Parts: sequence; C-alpha cells; structure tokens
Amino acid sequence: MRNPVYTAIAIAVGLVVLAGYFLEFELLVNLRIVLLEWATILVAVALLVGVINLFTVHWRKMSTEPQNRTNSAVLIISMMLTLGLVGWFGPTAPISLWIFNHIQVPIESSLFAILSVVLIMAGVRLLRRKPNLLSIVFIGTAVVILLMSGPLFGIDLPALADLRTWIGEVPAVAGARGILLGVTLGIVAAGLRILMGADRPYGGS
Amino acid sequence: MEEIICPHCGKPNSPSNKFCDYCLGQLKQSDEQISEAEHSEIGIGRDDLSEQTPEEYGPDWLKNLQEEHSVKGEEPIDLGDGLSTPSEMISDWMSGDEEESLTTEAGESPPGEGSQVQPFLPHDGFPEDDGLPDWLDDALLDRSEQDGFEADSRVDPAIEGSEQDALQKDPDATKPSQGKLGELESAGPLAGLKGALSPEPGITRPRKPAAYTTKLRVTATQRAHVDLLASIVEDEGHTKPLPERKAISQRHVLRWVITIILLIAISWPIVTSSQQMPFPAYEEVSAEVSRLVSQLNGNSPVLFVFDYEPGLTAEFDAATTPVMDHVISRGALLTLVSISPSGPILAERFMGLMQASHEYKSGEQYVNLGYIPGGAAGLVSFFDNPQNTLPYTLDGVPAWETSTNKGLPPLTGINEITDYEMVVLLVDDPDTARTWIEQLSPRINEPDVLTSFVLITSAQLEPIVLPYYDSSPPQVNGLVAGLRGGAVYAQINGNGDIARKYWDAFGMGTFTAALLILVGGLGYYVIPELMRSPQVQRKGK
Repeated sequence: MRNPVYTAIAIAVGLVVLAGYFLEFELLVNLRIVLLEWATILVAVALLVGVINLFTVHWRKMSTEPQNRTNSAVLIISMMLTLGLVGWFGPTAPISLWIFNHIQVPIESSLFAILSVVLIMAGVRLLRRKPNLLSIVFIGTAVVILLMSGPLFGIDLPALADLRTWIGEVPAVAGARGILLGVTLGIVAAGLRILMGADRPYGGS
Repeated sequence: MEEIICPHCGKPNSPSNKFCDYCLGQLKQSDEQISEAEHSEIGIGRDDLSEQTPEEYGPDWLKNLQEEHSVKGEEPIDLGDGLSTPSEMISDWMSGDEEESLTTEAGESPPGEGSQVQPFLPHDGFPEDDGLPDWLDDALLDRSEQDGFEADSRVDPAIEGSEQDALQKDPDATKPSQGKLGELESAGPLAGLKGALSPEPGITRPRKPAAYTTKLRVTATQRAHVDLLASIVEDEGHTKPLPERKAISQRHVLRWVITIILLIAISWPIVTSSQQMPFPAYEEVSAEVSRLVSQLNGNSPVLFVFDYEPGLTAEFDAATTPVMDHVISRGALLTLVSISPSGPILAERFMGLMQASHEYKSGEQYVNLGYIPGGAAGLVSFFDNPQNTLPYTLDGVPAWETSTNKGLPPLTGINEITDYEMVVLLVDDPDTARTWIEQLSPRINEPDVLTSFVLITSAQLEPIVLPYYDSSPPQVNGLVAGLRGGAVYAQINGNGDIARKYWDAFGMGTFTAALLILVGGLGYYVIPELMRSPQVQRKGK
C-alpha cells in the first residue's frame, strides 16, 4: 500500500454514501448529498482537463510529427473555432446550432450509413467464410427480424410475424437478462472490492 | 578381462594360463608356495606367525588402539599385511620398550592414545636403521626434499608433479607407491604397516582445484541447430513486403454493388413520394406510453433526458416526435437534461424542430438545464438535490427559485426527481440506459410516488431494455423503440408526420437488406461451389 491515506478516504467516503441510502439520519443524508456534489464537480473538471490534454497532444504532434501534422491541425483549428463561436455566442445561438446540425450530425450519420453497408456485406460473406449451423441460424435470424421490422409492402405473414415476436421476447430477452445479471453481479463485486480496499482505482495501490 | 603378468618376462598372459606363453615360466603358484614365498621374503616363518596373535607382536599403543575399537563395537583396525611385519624389522624406537622415546619433551602422550600424530621428518629423528629396505629409504629421502610432509601417507593420484617425478625417476620407488595405495604406512612410527591409521581429511594437505576449460565444446549437430536458430532470428528482423493488392478486387465490387442497390431502394420512395406502406400493428408496450401521457394534466412537470449520439438523430426524431407532440398537446412543462456532453445541444435542436408546430419558448414552457457530469454519481446528486447540481440553464440563467430569484416556471415546485410526473429517457447506449433505470426505478416504485418512467430507444436497444418492462413490478412503464415504435405511437395518436415520411423508405431499406443477405449469401456460397471443377471437389473430399 503506497499511500494508506487515499485508501482510507476512499473507503470512508464510500461507506458514508452507502450508509446514506439505508439510514435516514439527517447528517448522513446531507453528507451524502455534499459528497456527490463534490464528485460531480470533480468529474466536470476532469472533462475540462481531458479537453486540454487533447489539445496539448495534438499541438505536440503538429510540432514534431510532420506525417500527422495535417490531421492534428484540422482538429486544433476545429476545436478553437467551435470553442470561440459557441463561447462567444452561446450554446443555443443559431451559429452554434448550425455547426451542430451541418457538421457533427451529418458526419456521425454517415458513419452509421457506412456501417449498414459493411454489415450487409459481412452477412453476404458469412456463409462463404464459415458455412456452419451457427452461421445459418445467425443469417436466418437477421433476415426474419429485418423483414418483419418493416412494412413488407403490406404483405401479411403471420407465421413470420409471430417468429419475429418470439425471437424478440424469448431468446433475445433471455440473453439480455443474462448480460444484465452478469453486469450487476460484477458491479456489486467491484463496489465491495473498492470498499474493502482490495481495488484502488484512485492510485493508492 | 584381467591379465596375468608373467613374473619372469613381464608379458601379459591369460588368467587361465599356468605357464607363460612367451617364456614358459610358471605363472601361478599354489597357496602354500605363495605363502612361503611371502614369508621368506620378509624373513619370518609361518610357524612364528601361527604362534603369535596380532595383539602379541604389535606395539603396546597399537594393541590399546585395537582393544579400544573392540570395546566400542567398531570394526577392528585391519592391520592387514602389517601384521606380518617381522619383529626384527621394527626398530627399537618403534617397539613397546622404547615407548618413552616417542614421548615429546613436553610430556605429550604417545601416538595412539588420543594425541595427534606429530609430523615425522626423517632428517630429525628417523632412525638410521639398516633393516629398512632400500626402496623405503630412498622414497623417504626423496620426500624429505619436498617442501612439506604429508601426514596422510597414502599416495594420491593427484599428487604433485614434482613428487611423482621423483618417484618415476627411481624405478624402485614404484614399489612403495603400490604399498601406499594399499594403505602401507611409509613414514613415521608406523612405517611398514598397512591400514594402521584411517585417513583423516582434516590433516590432509589442501590441493589446488582441478582446472576446467572455459571453452564450449559444441558438436556438429549442435552447431547446425545454432545456425538454424540464428537464421530464423535474423529473418525476423527483415520486413517482408506484403503482396500487392488488386486495384479493383472482388470485395470492392461487392461493396459498391450493395451500396448502389441500397441507395436505389431507399431513394425510390423518397423520389416518388410514395407513402403507401401500412403502419405496423398495435403494440402494447408503445400504447402504454400513450396512456401515461394522456393522464398528464396541464402544467404537469415532465423531465426529458437526451442521451443519444448525434448520428442516430434521424431515428430518434421519428420515434420521439409523436411522443413529444402528445406531451406538448397536454400542456406539460418540460425540463431537458443530459448526462452526455452532446445531449444539451441535441435537446435544443429537437425543441427547435418542435417550434414548427408548437410555440414552446425556452424559460417559459421548457427549460434546458444542460449536462450533468459524473455519470451515476451525478445522476444521484441530481435526483436528490437538482437545485445545487444544475443551478443554471444552458444559457446561463439562474433556473431555480431563490430568495433573490423568482425561478423559471417549468421548475416551480421541483425539489427532487419524484416531483416530476413523468420522466422520458431518450437513449441508445445500454450502459446509460441501465444507469438511469438502476438509479431511478427504486425511487419511483415507492407507494406514494406517482412518477412514471418511459423509454424512447433505438431499435437495437429494444431487447436489452425489454426485461425491465417485463419485470414485476415494472422498472420501466413504457417503451417506444426505434422508427417502428414511433410509427405505432403515431398511428395510435394520429400525429405521425415524420414517421410517415420515413416509413416507406425504411420498409424498402430493410426488405432490400434482408434480400441482399439471403440471396447474396446463398449466391456467394453456392456459385463458387458449383464452379469448382470435379477434380478439385474430389480433392476437397
């Protein structure tokens, strides 16, 4: 244990916040609220530090790495321009919304559009690369869900519709429940380890 | 097989021979002949020996030593051939009568009585006895010339070179060497006796350690392996050029074909302005949301959470617009927040879209409180104490009522999360959805809380959040999933312009995608199989 003070503070804060959920003492509840507000402020500061770090890294790249100079320059110029305009006019100003609507939204939407083509191509090639039972089941499920998610030109296929409903409510939900249970157990275990000092993500180990 | 050396000519003979093959001399003698020859050689007859026991003809201290070993139960000292030492050959100083002469001036006890054997040097005390054989005399003289005296009289193979040389120079010296190997004492008071003293490591002279070569001896096979390994390691350092990729490969063609087919399929309903495809059938999970919204009264506070990526804007626009239309039509006052950094601007954008049909003004009918940092911790902080967590609007205006500030109408009477009548979460990420559900559900499931919690998600998230809706008690009160959910909701409430606009293109796109995967996959697999020559197919089998 490099610094037991960090560990002691983390465990004490965790126990106070946890106890504030179960014990209705005014002191504990107020203490929990204050600690959570501090955490919120600290995370906001961390976000700011992250932005500054991003700027610093790309500034260094632009200065020292000629091959990455263009990309880093584009990032820094975009960042400074957006920061200046939004900071000056405000986040709800028309110019700020214009930047968002005409640059960020189309770029990210294009990525999803490309993803659809790539996924279809992967589905086409799947049987060629791995012609086994699981591949056939995967392809069959995808085709049924895709067909029955849309209107299908008004054609009524009750069997396929029931199959789509069954897939969505039984196997998919069963898998999702398993994932959620696993995640929940993992979170409980991680929380207990931090409370006991076994894990020290704050740098005390 | 051992050989017998002829005592006459010195040549080796088979052990079965009685006579030498070279000189025809007698090789073996009978036991009696051997015994007599030995006894005659040392000058004592068998009769004399038979009359004397070892205890009788040895010196007193040797007798005592023998008795001591017998008493202790140890194996008696093997006197061996030493017992055959003739009494005439033992000098006076060695006999029991001369015991006093062995005692040192300091009065030390004689050897064999627990005292350490003193080094015995021939030049200061070795008796000038004519009875000693010449070979013993010479050997002792040679050894006295060396720089030390070995208490251990046995000849060691690792004896120093000078000592060996001295022995080799004199052929007679080989005799005592053999005698020493046979534990024959060559110096001191026990000279001529065999096995009288056991060797003691503590009194041996330390010798130089054996020298080993530092050169690595490598066989030809090992050398070949080393060369092979070296060549492999050397090859690893060299980059091999990748095979050149074709400018237009089969994959490129396939990718472009899929893209063009999809574009044509999606564009066709837009170009033709076709809106013929029927809306989906009634779904309970979406209808439940409509029922909850219908229960809102005028000026009911409703919290909208915008936590999705800007890339999914189109899908969320189509799914959220019917719900928002319905909520606004009920006259609810809206609060907008987000736990993702791009959420506040998404909320502002969406409210801008809604201005086309509803005149909702910021600060009057709705308020955008912006970004809640801190993930789950920030959420809990906002639930417990929203005034301190988000004190200002996105424009920097103080939002909450204080002693100096009137506060904004949508936030009037809001002190914690359960003061809202409805919470609507727009989310596309499973972790974000789980965080909200885990933190909010325990609070709204209290008996005296009337807050309802509904989700508007992307289609990909529907299976993940459906278990929360199906649980008992439900942790989520309703769900609108993707464009399909928005279309269902629009059909229920009759206000689905955006969903109607997207629905045909969406239907064509999903149908084409399914067809491409089905037909393309089968064709991509079956056609090459059919094109393979029968010979290759047989090889594959």
